[in-house]
Amino acid sequence: MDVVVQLLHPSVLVPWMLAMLFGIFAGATPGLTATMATALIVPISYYMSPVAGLAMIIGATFTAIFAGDIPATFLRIPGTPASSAAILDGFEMNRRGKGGFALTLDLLCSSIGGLIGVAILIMVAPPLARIALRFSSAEYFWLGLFGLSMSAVVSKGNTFRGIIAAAFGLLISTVGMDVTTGHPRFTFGQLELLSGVGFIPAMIGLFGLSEVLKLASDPATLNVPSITQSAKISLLGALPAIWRHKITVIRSALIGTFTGSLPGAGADIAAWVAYGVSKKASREPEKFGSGSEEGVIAPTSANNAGLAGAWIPALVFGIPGDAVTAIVVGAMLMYGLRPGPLIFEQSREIVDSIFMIAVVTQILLIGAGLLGIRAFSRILRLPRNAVMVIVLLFSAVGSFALENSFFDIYVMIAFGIIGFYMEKNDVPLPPLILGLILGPMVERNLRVGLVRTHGDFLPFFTRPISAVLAAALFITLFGGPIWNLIKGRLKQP
Amino acid sequence: MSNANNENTVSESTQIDRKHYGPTFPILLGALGAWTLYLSAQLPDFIQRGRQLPGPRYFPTILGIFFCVAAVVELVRYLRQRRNRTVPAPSIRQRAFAVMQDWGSHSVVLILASLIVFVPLIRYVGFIAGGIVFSALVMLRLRAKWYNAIILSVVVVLVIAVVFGMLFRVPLPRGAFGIAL
Repeated sequence: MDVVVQLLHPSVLVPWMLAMLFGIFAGATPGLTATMATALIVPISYYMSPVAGLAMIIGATFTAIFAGDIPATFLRIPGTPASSAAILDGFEMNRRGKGGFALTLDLLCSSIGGLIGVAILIMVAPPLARIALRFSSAEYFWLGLFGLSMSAVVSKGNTFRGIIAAAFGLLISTVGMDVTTGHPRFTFGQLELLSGVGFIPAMIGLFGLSEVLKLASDPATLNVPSITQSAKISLLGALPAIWRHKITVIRSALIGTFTGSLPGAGADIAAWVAYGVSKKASREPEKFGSGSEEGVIAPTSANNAGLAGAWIPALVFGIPGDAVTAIVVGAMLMYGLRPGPLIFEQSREIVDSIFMIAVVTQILLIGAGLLGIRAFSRILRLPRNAVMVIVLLFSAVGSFALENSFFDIYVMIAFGIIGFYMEKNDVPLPPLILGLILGPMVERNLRVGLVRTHGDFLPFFTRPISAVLAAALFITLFGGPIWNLIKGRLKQP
Repeated sequence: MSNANNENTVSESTQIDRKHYGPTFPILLGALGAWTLYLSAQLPDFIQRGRQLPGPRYFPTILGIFFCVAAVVELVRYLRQRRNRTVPAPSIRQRAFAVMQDWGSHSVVLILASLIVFVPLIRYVGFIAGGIVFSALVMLRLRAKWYNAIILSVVVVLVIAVVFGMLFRVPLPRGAFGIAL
C-alpha cells in the first residue's frame, strides 16, 4: 500500500507521465532510440528521488519501444532497432490502408506482451536472487564475462569485433583509482579522471552524438519530415484479431522474455526470434511479409516482453540484459542503489516500486500510445536536421548537468567520435557500454578471487556453478565455429 | 530477369565495398594494445607479505595483450580480403580524397569542431547566447532555412534553459554578460 501511495505522489506521477510522453516522442522519431531516450532522461532524473527517477526511466523505455513501431508502420523506418521486425507486415498493412489497425494491434500486443514479461520478472527474480546469494568471486567473474560474451555474440555485426568492443569497454573501466590499491591508472594527471570516465557522458556520446554524426553524413535525409499521414484507430476492432491469435501473443511474449533475459540479447533480437518462430508455427506462413496479422502480433508482443526480461539479470545479478538496462544499472548506482541479489533484502521497497511501476506502465502505455499514434499520424513532424540539433544540445547540457563539469562535455564528444568510428567499422556499441559497466565487477572479482586462492586459477574451474558458467562462456564463444567445422567435415565425402 | 540479376550483382558488389575497411582498424588496434602494455608496465607491483599478487597492472596487461592479438587477427583478415578482391581496393590517397570531397564528412567535422568551440563559447557568452548561435549555425549547415534555424534555436535553447536551469537548478553558464535563467 505504501508503494501505491508513493507512486501516486505528484513528485513521482508527474515526471513519470512526462517521461512516457517523451518516450513516445523519442521512440517515434527516427534517429532517436529507446537507448538514447534513457540516456537523455538519466541526467534529469538525477535531481529526483530514486523511485521518481526509475519511474521516468521505465516509463520512457517501454513507451519508446512501442513508439518505434509507429514510423516503422507508416514510413518503413524503424524508430528504434527493436522495431525493425515490425516493419515487415505493419508497413504492408499500411500500404493497404490498414496502418491504423496495424498500430492498434501493435499497441495492444505491446501492452499484453509487456505485462506477461513483467509478471515473469516478478515471479522469477526473487527466487533467482536467493540462489545468487551463494555466488562467490569466481562465479561473479565468469558471470560478468558470460554477459560480455553474449553481448558480443548476439550484437549486430561481427562477433569478434563485438569482443573487441567489450574489451575496449573493460579497458576504459580501468581508468581512475585502482579498486584494490587506490593507485591512479591512465589518468594522465587529470583530476577529473581519478573517479573514472563518467558513465553518463560516455553513454550520451556513444548513442546520442554518434547517431547525429551518422545522420549528418547522409545529406539526402536532412530535410525529410518524419510522418505526414493520418490513421484510423479502433481498440475494439483490434480485440477480435488478438483473440484469434492469442497463442501467438502468449508464445511471442514468453520467447521475448526469455531472449531478453539473455545478457546482451535485448528487445530487437527478441522481436526477430518471435517473428521467426511464429512464422514456422503458423498455419499460413506464406502470408508473413505481406501484411499478416500474426506478422504484426509476434514481434510487437515480444519486444516489450524482451525489455521486461532484460531486467531479470540486471536486478538479480547487476548484469544488464541490453544497452537500455546497462544504462539503468548505471543510473541505479548513481542513485546509491546496488543492483544484485542483496537489493531484494536491503532495498525491498525499491524493488516492489520497480515491479509496480513496470505493471502500471504497461496499462498506461495504451493511453500514451494512442496519443502518440494520433499525434504522429496527423501532424507534419519536425525535419530531421531540427531533431539532430535538439539531440546535440541535450547531449551537451545532459553531460554537463550531472557534475556541472565542462570536462564531461569533452568526454561526451570523445565518445561520440569513438562510437561513430566503431559503427563505421561494424563494431557494435552495446558490448562497449556493457564492458564499461561490468569492468569493475569483473576485475575486482578476478583479483579478489586470485588473492584468496594465492594466485591459483584452478578453483575458478572446480567450483560447480563456476564450472558451468565457464563452460557456458566457452560454448557461447566457440560452440558455433566448432559446430560449423564438424558439419563441414561430415558433409565431405 | 536480367535486370533483377544486374540489381543483385550491384547490391553484392556494394556490400563488398562497404565491408572493405582498409588497414586503419588493425593498425589502431595494435597501437592501442602497445600503448596499454607500455602504460601498464609503469604501474606498481602489488606485494603483500612477500608474495606478488595481482595488482593495478594485472588486468590492463591482459587487455593490452588481447588488443595486440586482435590486431594481428584483424590484419590477417584484411590481407586475406585484399587478396580475394576482384576489383582493386582504393588507395589511402584515393580514400582520403573521397572523404575530403564528401559533403557529409565535412558536416561531421564541422559539427565536432563547433561542439568543441561550444564549450568555451558558453563559458564566455553564457548558455543562452552561445546555445542559440551554436544551434543556428549547425542547423544552417544541415540545410535548414535561415528563419527556421533561428526560430527553432531560440525555442529549443530557452526550453532547455528552463528545464535544466529553473526546474533542476543546474547552474548553466552565465558568461561574461551574466544572462541566465
